[in-house]
Amino acid sequence: MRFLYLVFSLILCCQVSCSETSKEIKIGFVEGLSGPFANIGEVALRHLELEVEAVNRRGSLPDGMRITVLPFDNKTNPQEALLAFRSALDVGVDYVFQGNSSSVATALTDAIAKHNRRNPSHPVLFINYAALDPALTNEHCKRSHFRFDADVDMKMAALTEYIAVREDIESVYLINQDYSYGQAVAGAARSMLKRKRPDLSIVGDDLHPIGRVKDFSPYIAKIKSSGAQAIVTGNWGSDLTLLIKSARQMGVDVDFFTFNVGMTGGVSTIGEAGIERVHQITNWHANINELTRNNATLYRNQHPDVFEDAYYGSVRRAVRMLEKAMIESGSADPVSVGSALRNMSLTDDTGLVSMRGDNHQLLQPLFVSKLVRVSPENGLIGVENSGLGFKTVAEIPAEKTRMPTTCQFE
Amino acid sequence: MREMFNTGRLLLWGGVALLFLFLPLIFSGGFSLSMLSQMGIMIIFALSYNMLLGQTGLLSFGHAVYFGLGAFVTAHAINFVEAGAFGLPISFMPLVGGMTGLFFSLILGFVTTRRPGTPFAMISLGIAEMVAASALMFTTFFGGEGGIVTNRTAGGASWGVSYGPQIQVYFLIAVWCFVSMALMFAITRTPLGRIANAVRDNPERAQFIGYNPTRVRWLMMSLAGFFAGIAGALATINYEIITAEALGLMASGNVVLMAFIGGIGQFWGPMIGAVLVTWLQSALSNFTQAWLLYFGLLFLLIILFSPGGISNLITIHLPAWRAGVVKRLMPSYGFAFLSGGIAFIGVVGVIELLYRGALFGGVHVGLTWIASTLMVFIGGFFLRRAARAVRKVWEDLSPELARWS
Amino acid sequence: MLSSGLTLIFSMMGVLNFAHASFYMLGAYFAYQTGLVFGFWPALFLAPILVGIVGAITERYGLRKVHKFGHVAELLFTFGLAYVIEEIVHLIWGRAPVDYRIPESLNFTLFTLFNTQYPAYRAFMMLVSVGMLAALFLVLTKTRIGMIVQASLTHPDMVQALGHNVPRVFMLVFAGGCALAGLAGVLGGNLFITEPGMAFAVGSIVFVVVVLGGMGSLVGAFIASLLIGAIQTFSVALDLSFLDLVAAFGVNIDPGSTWYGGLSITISQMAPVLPYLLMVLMLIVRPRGLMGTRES
Repeated sequence: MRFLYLVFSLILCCQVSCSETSKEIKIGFVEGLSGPFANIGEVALRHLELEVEAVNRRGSLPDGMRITVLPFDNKTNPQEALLAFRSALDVGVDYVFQGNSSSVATALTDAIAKHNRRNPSHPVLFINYAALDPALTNEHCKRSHFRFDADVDMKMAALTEYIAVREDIESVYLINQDYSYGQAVAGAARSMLKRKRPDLSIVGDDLHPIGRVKDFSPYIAKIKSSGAQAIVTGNWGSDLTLLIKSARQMGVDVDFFTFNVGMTGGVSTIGEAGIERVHQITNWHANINELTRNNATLYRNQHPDVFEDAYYGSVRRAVRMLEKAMIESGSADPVSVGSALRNMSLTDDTGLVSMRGDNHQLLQPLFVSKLVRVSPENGLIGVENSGLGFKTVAEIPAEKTRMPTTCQFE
Repeated sequence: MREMFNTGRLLLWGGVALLFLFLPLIFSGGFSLSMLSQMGIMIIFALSYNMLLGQTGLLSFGHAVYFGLGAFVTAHAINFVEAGAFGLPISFMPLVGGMTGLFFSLILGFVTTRRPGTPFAMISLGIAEMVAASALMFTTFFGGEGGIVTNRTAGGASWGVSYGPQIQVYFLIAVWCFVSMALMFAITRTPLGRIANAVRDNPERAQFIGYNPTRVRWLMMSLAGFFAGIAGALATINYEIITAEALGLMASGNVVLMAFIGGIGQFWGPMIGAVLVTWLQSALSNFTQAWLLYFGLLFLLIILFSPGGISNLITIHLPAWRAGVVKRLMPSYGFAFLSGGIAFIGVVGVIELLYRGALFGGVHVGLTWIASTLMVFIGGFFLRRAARAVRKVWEDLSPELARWS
Repeated sequence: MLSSGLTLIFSMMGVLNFAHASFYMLGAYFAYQTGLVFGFWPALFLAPILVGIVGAITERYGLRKVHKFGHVAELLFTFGLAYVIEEIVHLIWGRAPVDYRIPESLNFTLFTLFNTQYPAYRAFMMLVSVGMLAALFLVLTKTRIGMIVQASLTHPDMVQALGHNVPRVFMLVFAGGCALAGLAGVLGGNLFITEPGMAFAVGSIVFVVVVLGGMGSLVGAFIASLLIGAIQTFSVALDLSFLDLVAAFGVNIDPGSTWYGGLSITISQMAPVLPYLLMVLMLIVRPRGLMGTRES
């Protein structure tokens, strides 16, 4: 596939100079496609291609325009991301999609803003579908950046709403990755829990180096001796899977509240031991309603032999809103599309979502769900062929997730 | 010193300067300019590393520490300039990086250069890991996972140069690269450079003629750190961001690969290595997902068959060139290239197919598979024949070449 | 186990094998693959043998060629090999972790200590590693092959003159070291995640252990690995920082001050740095390590 894209872009390079007047709208997917987080990048790319294909099929864009997706590997490294961005610019990309790793997102949003300032004739929009550091829509906010997933503060607010009504939980242990995202999770958890459940005690707060800890048993031992009844973690990837594995092996039988367990293999690793125990806070999962179930099944039918069959709601929303913005503004020029995107709303499979105009953060309903067994009887569908899936235990309406912002667009 | 300024050398250096000047006219795209800039930075870095490895015989796995520290301090310095704390034109920022590299390599070098060889390699590894690990702890200085962001246009424009456009940054890097190259070359011609070679070859003998090997190593290390710091500063200016990865093991390993692939026996060897490896890492990864595999295989091949690197491959042909017998080598070389080329295409095919299969589940057996494996075998078979032919030609030629080498 | 394999290779052949952790990773992947077909117990024996074969091939066609170019070239060869092995793993098994599980027969709790359950699998691992080391020790000191190996270390020419095939002995030793690494992989792969990044994660620590224990000493490697393991585990548990130390003297530092960032680092946050710090100190002070017999 990549070869085709390369050939395609080379041909385009020869024919067309960087401009928005062509009939092709180019989305640059600048993401980690090699290295430790390659599989998550591939999942997002697949979803992006699927959604773009659907848009092209609908033929809804003005002037018969079509969208092309060009992948650029950023090796989940801020520096490489900048190089990738420059090669994307070379082939005339107008929209950059990225989400894995807030450090990359911060570097990119800065670079894109600088580029827009220095090259006003070739504006670029940054579509952030997964980087959750709150700073990106607060002190680091940029006019060219739009975020389509709820940030750490929003998700934690939603999650703590649910934890607050769980009378059986009296003590909580926090464990997170030691970088901006993990620190944000820990900080938000602390302040919000204190406010909503002053009687709840936070018996531990650990930050571990990201991606380096292979043996979580010392941490689990600490958790055990603290007597915590619940663990709150923003960990993702192998950091999350190893943590839960360790906990299960050492017989720690507490509730887990996570941000990401449904993605890329987490459920299979945890298995039956996680039933009724493992929770996640997300903007989408397969069993929210009939529409989401259909979408999940559709995706699975398109890619039957892919292991990670979780669905990337934020990518879908981003593409659909871009489409709507282009139709509304009647062009594919990033500046007009950007203006149309602000304050725009869309009805998607989970309800009404809307883009804030003051900091370019999407407001959408959030769902706390827990791991359960799935079967044709209970009508739920599972992930990764594991016989396990998610069931909503709390829905937090979009408006309740609105957070105050310090964003000042320059 | 007289021989330093002979006409041939002046022409060569002049040619290099002209090349730097006119390259951007040929490669003018944004990505190409970025890649050229990256190459310039890596040339300085690899050359500084060769001061350690090729000239003093110190195999270090932690050279990126000085690069990285230079980069971070420069980033903070630029941020200070932006905040108005003091004024230093961006053009002179690489000096800041260089002084940082010098400072740290003086300190760290003092304790580490006591023992050469494997203990030194291990210590450098340990220090690299230590600094990389602590980079995530001292977040005010290192910026944590997100790194430190700077603005290279800080301090405003001087003489119309703001360093906003990439081409201006390219020329800054080109100038510093040329100056650093010249300086490092000059060092090889000084008594220090010569004694460093002596220490590399036979430390005991160097001791007998009155030089302290540890002192010599320490000095070379400090100088190498200085130039590595310059490279780091230029990287900060180029990318406007610096993260802890820049001082990690991967970066250190990278420069080892660069120097080695290019060839540590010649001064200009690491330059070739830097250019080639930068190209592989940036451009190749857009073509194929297997770029790291090709990279590793290339490295292995070089070590197995030409540990002197690419520069060695070039220099062993010099006597043949001088003797005028290059034509005699052509047929067997042609044969070798042809069969090698076929085998190479076959290997590439197999690897690419496997990659597609591995990542998307299920391997589709088809025409491409059969064609690729066939090419591997056929090419490999003929390559062995070709290798024998090449060897024979060289053997036949050696009495003639003996006069010219 | 990993470090004993590395020490073995190093003391016998003077080659510091960067790819050692890669053989560990291969062991885990081979065990996973053969386990799918044969089950865990046969895989426990098959996988290390397979890794040993790969090691033998590497030695015969790779290291031996490079040996004549010197120690630096050998080091760099193994360095490049590490890259290539990792990429080949990507090629064959993909980038995502593979589902290599602990066998059901070993998946229970052995006993409960201080309210924490001790999994039987970890006890099994301990048993195997100690057993392996004991067997290694016995082979090296009590059997004929072991004596030849030891002799080849110090007097290779003499041993060759006596009619033994010394290059073959070296190949055997290298293969043996790699097989040990592979065995470690078989055991560790299902406890920790089996993924392509595992070699990189483990690699540096193994060197630390070897350096600390002393290059050339198996017992030293054993002691050092216990030491490093203890440090890594206990440092996580210790939430003390310099702030606490200073507070003990009655000095309270304001969170806003510049020193706060540095002093508030707890020992548990410093945990990853400690082994390397030890290694560097050891190399500076006593390059032979705790019980080593050679410096380089």
